[in-house]
Amino acid sequence: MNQIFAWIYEKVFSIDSPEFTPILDILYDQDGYVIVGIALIFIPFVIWSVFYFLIQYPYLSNLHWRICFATQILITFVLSWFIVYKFVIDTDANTPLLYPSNEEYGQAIRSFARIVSRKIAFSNILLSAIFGYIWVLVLRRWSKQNIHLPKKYI
Amino acid sequence: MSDKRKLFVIGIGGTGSRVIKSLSLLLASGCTLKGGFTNIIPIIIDPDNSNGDLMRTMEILNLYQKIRINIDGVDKGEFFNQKIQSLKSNNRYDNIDFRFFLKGVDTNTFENYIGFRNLNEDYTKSTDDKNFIRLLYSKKNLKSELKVGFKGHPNMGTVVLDQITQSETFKYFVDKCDKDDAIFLINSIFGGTGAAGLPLLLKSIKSQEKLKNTKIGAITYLPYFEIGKKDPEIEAADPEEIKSNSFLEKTKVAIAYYNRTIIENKELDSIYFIGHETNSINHEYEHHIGANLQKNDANFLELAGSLAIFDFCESPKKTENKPLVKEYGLDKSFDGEIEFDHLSKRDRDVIERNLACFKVFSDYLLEEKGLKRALGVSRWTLDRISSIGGPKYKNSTLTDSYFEGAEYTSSVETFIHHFRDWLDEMRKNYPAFAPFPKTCNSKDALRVLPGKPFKGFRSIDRENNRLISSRKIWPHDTTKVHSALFRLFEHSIRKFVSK
Ligand SMILES: Nc1nc2c(ncn2[C@@H]2O[C@H](COP(=O)(O)OP(=O)(O)OP(=O)(O)O)[C@@H](O)[C@H]2O)c(=O)[nH]1
Ligand SMILES: [Mg+2]
Repeated sequence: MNQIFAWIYEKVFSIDSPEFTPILDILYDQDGYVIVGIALIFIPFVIWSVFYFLIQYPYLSNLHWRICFATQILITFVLSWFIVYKFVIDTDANTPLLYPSNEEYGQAIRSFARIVSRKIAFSNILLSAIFGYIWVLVLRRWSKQNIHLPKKYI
Repeated sequence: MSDKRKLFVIGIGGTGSRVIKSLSLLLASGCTLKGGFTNIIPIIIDPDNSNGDLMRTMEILNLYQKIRINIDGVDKGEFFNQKIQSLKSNNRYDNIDFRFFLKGVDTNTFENYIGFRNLNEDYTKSTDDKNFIRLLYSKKNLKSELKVGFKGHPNMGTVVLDQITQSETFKYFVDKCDKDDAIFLINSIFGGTGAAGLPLLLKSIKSQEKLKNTKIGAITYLPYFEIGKKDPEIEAADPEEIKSNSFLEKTKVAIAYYNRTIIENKELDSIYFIGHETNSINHEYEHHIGANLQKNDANFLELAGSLAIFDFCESPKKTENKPLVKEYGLDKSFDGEIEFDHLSKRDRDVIERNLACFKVFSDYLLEEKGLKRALGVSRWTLDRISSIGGPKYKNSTLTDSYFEGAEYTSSVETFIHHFRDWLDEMRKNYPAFAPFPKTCNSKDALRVLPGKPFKGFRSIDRENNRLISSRKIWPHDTTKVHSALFRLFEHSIRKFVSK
């Protein structure tokens, strides 16, 4: 799992930068990638389960579906940003790395760390859209009220 | 005994039509006759061919058939479960008439009909005599046009209706009536057609060897409405022929006659009587002697009277000698409006839930917040769902094109409008029958009966969505276009209202 997600973020979305790799190690070592990844899969699952099974309102429309889709993306976006931030910046383990003796290098690495959390969060917009859509396709088949949503795009 | 018995319901005169109308609306709502009577064959006998009430009844009967033939597999107790046939048709729907055609009534005056002109003025010179006829019939009687009915004159009725026995249709009817079948007649005692027709018809039926042992019942209406007065000026020039204040007198005479004849001679198994004090304040029927303007608002008594048919079907054939005489009554006295609570338990069991269900059904389909809201939005009204896989029947056939199509609008929709009008009219008429809350609110539309939860149309849509692809609805014969609609609502509405 870890490897898959590490590969996705580091290689596919190329957030890696050889000179600063060490601060990403912590994401890898402490299963940070897994947590981000699970959030990425789990959040859409929860949201779409609510949409397709829990909400028993019989008059939902495409608009509602779109709102739900946007919400799902927003939540994964914010949450993954937050998780990466916690893992990479707001952690004692990385303090030595983020604040080295060389102040210039320190600034560069800190800005890289911020960029990393932002980049992962943004990549997750795309990823959660994809995972979300997969959940939609899977879950809606069993939905009684909203099997027909979204009406187009399929 | 066969479980496919036929019941011939013969309505004579305007009241006959009105009661048959009530009966067919009750049957539509799912009321079911006991005793294995599955086929109802209404026959309307009325020279007043274009009578407003008669036309309305005919339309309802036709719609009933048209709808029922398009529902696949209806079970007992469901909407439209009983088959209504016309005498001449077998199983197909072919828009056939339910009327019993009378010859020579369309253009003739009574005078012409009996050949008055050819009679002699002087009896001493002939075997016939105009004056003798004048003794029996007034000038007005003789000049009277037959196509509007007998305007309250049974003495004319007996003469004209006598042709029934000789008619082809009557022979056909006798031929169709099998051993286990039964006959039920409906008339009013205070008019012309019905009052004259009942004794006549009973006699003709009894004179048929084949029908000697057939179970026969009848309901006779005592006065239950009042007729308004004509404009005084018109009245002076042409005094009205039908007057409410003659109703009681006519009733007394006729009852005495019925007693001496049909009851004494045991011409039937049971006879029901029903009537109600009338109210001339705000509740008079407009003055129309006949034809299409004689279209009266539905009255609770017509519903109550059709309940006699349910009672009749349930009761075993009498072996005793005397006919059973029954009179309709409520269980409790009412103040202002009649509600379900006032009816006897038996009557209540027959109609309460069924009427409530059909009312919700028609409200849902007609109200702004009902079907209109769901159409094109709720899953049960959408097709093209199967593209995501799964069985075909995930698609609904109840789409816009169904609800906008002629099949639906010209039959189901028209029918439920009639049903609504019927309930509305009974509420406004005297005695008022108002068993349901007055306003229909989309939020608590399912609370038609006391004690039901506050639920609205939304619950129906939700339930429909659950049911639309379920085994309760599928598979069915999709060539019968209303199958899906009725199966769906049968389950969703009864779940809330009747269980
Ligand atoms: N003036 C008037 N008379 C009515 C109206 N409705 C019914 N009647 C009369 O009330 C009497 C009893 O009604 P029905 O049972 O319909 O009578 P019917 O058996 O059709 O008999 P006739 O119409 O008299 O031949 C009849 O004489 C009717 O014609 C109405 O709206 N206006
Ligand atoms: Mg009449």
